[in-house]
Amino acid sequence: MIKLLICPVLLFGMCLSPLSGQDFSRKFGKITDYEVDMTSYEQDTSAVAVYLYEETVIKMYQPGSSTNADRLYSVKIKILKPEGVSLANVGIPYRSRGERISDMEATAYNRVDDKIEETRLNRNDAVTEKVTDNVSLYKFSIPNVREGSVIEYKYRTSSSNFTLIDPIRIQHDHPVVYSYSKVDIPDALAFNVNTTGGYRPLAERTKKGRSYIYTITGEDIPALKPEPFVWCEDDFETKVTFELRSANIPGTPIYNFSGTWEKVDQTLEQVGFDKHLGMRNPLRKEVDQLTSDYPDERERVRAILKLVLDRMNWNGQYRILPNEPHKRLDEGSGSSADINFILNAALRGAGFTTTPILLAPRRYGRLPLANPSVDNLRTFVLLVTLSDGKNYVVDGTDPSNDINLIPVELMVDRARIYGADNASGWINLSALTPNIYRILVTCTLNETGLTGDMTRFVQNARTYGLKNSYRNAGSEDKYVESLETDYGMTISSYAIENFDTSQVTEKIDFTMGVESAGDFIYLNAPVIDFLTTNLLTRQERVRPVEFPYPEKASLTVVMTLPEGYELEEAPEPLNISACNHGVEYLYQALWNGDQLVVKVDLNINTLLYMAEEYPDLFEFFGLVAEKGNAHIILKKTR
Amino acid sequence: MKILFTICALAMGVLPVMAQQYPANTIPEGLRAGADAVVRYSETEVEYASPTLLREHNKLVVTVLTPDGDEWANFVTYTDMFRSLSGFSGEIYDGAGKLLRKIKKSDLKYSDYSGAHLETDNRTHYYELSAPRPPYTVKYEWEITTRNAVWAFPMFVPQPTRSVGVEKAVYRLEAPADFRFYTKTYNFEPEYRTTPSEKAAVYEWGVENIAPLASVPYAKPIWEVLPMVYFSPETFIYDKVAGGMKDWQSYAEWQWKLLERSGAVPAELNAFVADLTKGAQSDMEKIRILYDYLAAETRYVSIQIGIGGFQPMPVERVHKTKYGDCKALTNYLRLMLAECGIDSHYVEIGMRRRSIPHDFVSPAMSNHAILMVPAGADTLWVECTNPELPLGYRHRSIVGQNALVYKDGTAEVVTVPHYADSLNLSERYARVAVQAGGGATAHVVTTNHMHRFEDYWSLEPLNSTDRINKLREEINLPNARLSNPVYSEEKGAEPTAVVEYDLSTPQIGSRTGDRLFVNTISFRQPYSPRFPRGERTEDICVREGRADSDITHLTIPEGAFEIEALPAPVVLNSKYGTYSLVCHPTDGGITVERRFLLHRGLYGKEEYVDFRNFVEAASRADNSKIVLRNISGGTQTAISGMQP
Repeated sequence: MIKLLICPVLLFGMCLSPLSGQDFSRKFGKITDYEVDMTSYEQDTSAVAVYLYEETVIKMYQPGSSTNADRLYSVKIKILKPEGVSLANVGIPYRSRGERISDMEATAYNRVDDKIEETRLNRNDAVTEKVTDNVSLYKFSIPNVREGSVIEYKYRTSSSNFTLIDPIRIQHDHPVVYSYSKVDIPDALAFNVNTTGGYRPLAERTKKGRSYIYTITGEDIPALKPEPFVWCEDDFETKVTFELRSANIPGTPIYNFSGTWEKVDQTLEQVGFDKHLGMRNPLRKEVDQLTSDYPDERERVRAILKLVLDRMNWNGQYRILPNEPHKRLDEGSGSSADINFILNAALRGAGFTTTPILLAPRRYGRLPLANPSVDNLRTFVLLVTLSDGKNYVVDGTDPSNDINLIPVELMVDRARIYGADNASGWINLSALTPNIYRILVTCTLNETGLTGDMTRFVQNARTYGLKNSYRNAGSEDKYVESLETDYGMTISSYAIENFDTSQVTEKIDFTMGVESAGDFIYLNAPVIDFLTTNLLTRQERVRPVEFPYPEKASLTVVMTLPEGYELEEAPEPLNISACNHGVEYLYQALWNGDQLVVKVDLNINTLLYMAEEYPDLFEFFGLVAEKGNAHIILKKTR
Repeated sequence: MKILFTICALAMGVLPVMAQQYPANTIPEGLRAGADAVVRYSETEVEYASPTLLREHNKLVVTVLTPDGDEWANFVTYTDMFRSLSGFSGEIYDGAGKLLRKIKKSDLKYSDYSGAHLETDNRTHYYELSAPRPPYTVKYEWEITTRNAVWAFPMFVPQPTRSVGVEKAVYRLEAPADFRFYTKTYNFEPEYRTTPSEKAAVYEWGVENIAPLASVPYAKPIWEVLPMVYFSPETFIYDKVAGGMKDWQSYAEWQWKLLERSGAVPAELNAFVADLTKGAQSDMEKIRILYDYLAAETRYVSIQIGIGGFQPMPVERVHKTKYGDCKALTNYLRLMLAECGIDSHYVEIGMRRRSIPHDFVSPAMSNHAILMVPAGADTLWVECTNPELPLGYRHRSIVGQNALVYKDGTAEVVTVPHYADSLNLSERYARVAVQAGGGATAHVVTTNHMHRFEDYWSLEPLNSTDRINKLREEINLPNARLSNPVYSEEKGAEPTAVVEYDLSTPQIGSRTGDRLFVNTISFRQPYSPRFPRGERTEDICVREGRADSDITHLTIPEGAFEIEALPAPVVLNSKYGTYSLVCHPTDGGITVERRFLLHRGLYGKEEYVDFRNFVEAASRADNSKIVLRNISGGTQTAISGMQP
């Protein structure tokens, strides 16, 4: 009985670590035969390289030391396939001011006959490049590296800044066998230490003398490769982040940094955020005019937003604080802060109450729920309160913006209301307003083709894409030409209505060919290409799926059938949903005499799906696409 | 009061001077339609002061019309150890031509970032433009001074890209009267005039009113469309090494000097090569051994400093570090082959750019080095920087390009031969077993030859999951699941990549009642070109010829389905290629045979409708369906795991 119990445990243990400690060395400069001779990494056979050992040792401010932060990084990498040799071309970014790279050593190890051959890089072969005013790059290429090589390098980053510890990235594009980090922080400095990502390393904190020592270790960390439908790759990559909470260094003022949202707000106030909120309205004349032109408050907000959008172009930079916003207004462009402070002044000038909503655009990852810092914030939008107490969100960075319509990149699910207390200050901007995509086709079928009209109605989120395609087509003719190729139709007339609003309608008259086969006409029931391919192409998935925005999409086709034919068959209805009604689909084909009506609805209600839900989601969109390709069958009656 | 009056007077006096600059509404309609931006005026003045000193004065005024045009308003220029930026000023105007701001040289930023190169001496100078909403206009003036490398003159490229129109552009060259140079003009006929004088001559090229070009399918590469003029001096001195550009022969003498300067062959190389090739029976075997050595033990690292952009890094260093750029690795293999008595030639070639002309010399024509091993019809064109490429295979980026082949101080322009269109073949065999309920399982094998090999070789290092994720993208069945992907390759001079997988799908095609509509093409995305209906204003260019052969055997369970309709056979023959799709019933199933051959070629715009008719007919056939009808009396509902 005992034997039976032990065996599975042993097997399990062996499965977990098929390699003994002697196979891999964790000492810089010590290479094992196993490391040089290994040809693949069992846990991930597609790995072109594997990090055998990665070590980061950080020591923050030590009394009497000239540097304030010292970071020693060393890594040992096995090159498994030719595609991996580029890892021997190393580029280390560092801050041009206050940071320095030194003590670099790099070596390649190769099996030559029965010996391990060592090739060292001459430190003088490393070069430095200025990338931008703030960032430089320290570069070197390790010689003698090929498939099978083991490379090893280390370097020291010394910094004069004791308030900053860059994240320790535990997970990479390639798998990691063992990762070790040690961070030594004197008790004069207090940092919030967070681990984020899908893999959980082992972390512990101990007190040693006047320091806290954090050690973080990880084993067999899987590679993380990019996947579609992810807002921010970084959100799921395992890393340890450090945020300064307070500093008490002799000879320097006592710093007290944000640890709560109240403190973040205080910090913002100290750097002048509130002062800018009270800025003089530079568009007073125009705003006064709009105030008298638009007695309806909501319409007035819209008019003021359009005024600012018209006067200022966003320069692509997200900022929290402006840089001479009145001057930027004269120049017609500025950062998100320049524009939104002007918008704020204009709205206040028109008598509205406004509250900034602080956020990080999607690409920068979600704001932390606990231990926030002002560094997490990148931009803000505005909450406008009308006299009836209703609230609307506005932002000035895209000409297609409207009331409650902000760019997809800013539609985050976690943003902070400025000045609100810790618990109640969260706001979800990802579903401010319903997004609608509706197509109505009315057409007549005969033996050679379809003739009819199509109305496309787009409300909110999808207007960004539509307006961009229209504007960038260069001319309406070119745009119509692209619609013709998209839908495989010939367009005889085209009109677009309410282009300047968030509810755009396009009206199209078209003809389209159909093919008949003998006594039958087989026709794709929805007539136009609508949900005909599986939007998820990948069969397997590691990360959650994040859709860009919720939407109700629908297509209705009303078709008059030709004389001399009868409807032999039409697709059965399908009504499905998946992932707890996160996605819903309805398909119906109804007919009455010579009228056929096909109706398709797809609702995306939920944006986030766990990887475990992926198979269901994949199957759902597969069924949707199958239905999108379904046919009606008409049979000749005479 | 007096002060106020003075200010008013000043303002009035200044106003005429501050007249509106290049307002957007003065652009002729023909240049504006379809344009992201319009070059209002561009002027390049080149002063050839001496063989070692060149001054270049540029003026550029661009009006941006759409957000996509923003990139053409950015100021970017490059300098290196010979070129310096000696002056700069800029102005930004709104759409009406009102001055918004002025830019000084100190507002420019620079970066030494060299991307994938290890080291270069290039520096990028740029202005971070915070642009108003289009339309707006930028005006830049800047000066570049070149010392000690006066050879590749700035080119005259009035239209920077397809979507930009041009009002007026001028290029002026001023040089001593006895200065001799050559020009080569492509894709337009500029106005030209010259003002000779005893001391200095002025040559001028100009062009006006170039309309933007829409992007269209099967367009010629951009260098075959945009107007441009190249300039080359008859003699030059580059980093103290004198050379000539009268013809390729004189240029070759210069390049040969650089090859010879790449250092002495290391003493041990002879013994090293002899040891490696010991026991090899033939020259070909030796070449293969040395190529395999290069593939296994060296890697591409790019270093481009000064004349190092043209002179290979010392052989000794390559041999020691086992890395180098294309020049260094090519030269290294050449010298190793020479050690075993095999003749080979250093080659310069342009990849993804204009092919080197026979009758005009310019270093701007090539951007890569490879090695040629002459053997008549079996001549090898050896790529030394990518170990994944099979020896003897001519990859996509070099076929059809003219190559400059250096032989002992001489040079010859030779074309790297294309493969016949039919050799770029992708053959697919699929056995599909349709099940009674409409689902199916399949086994699919694809063999991809020559350039089609390059479509699949990236599968090699991937594990099964990643291979499946990649292969799924070409499957025309929305709910199919793949399993057991196998990749194998044959890396000879005629390489093949074989991809195999199993597939299962709950439904093959779409279902309506008793009918199942099965795609004729399920394991390849159907050919779906997007051809606009409007008038074609440019020639049609098919850059790569290719052939597909798809054979699908469907077995259909007896008593489950009957064939209601099969697509009528389609057989198309045209000068552009051939296409056939034939579905025929077999014992217990259907066989679908599809063959598609598309010829590489250049066709006049007047043939557009014919060409479109051919490819659209092929596309229609690709999208045709087989109609099966359920005769078993029951249909399967393909819903599982879903909440109805």
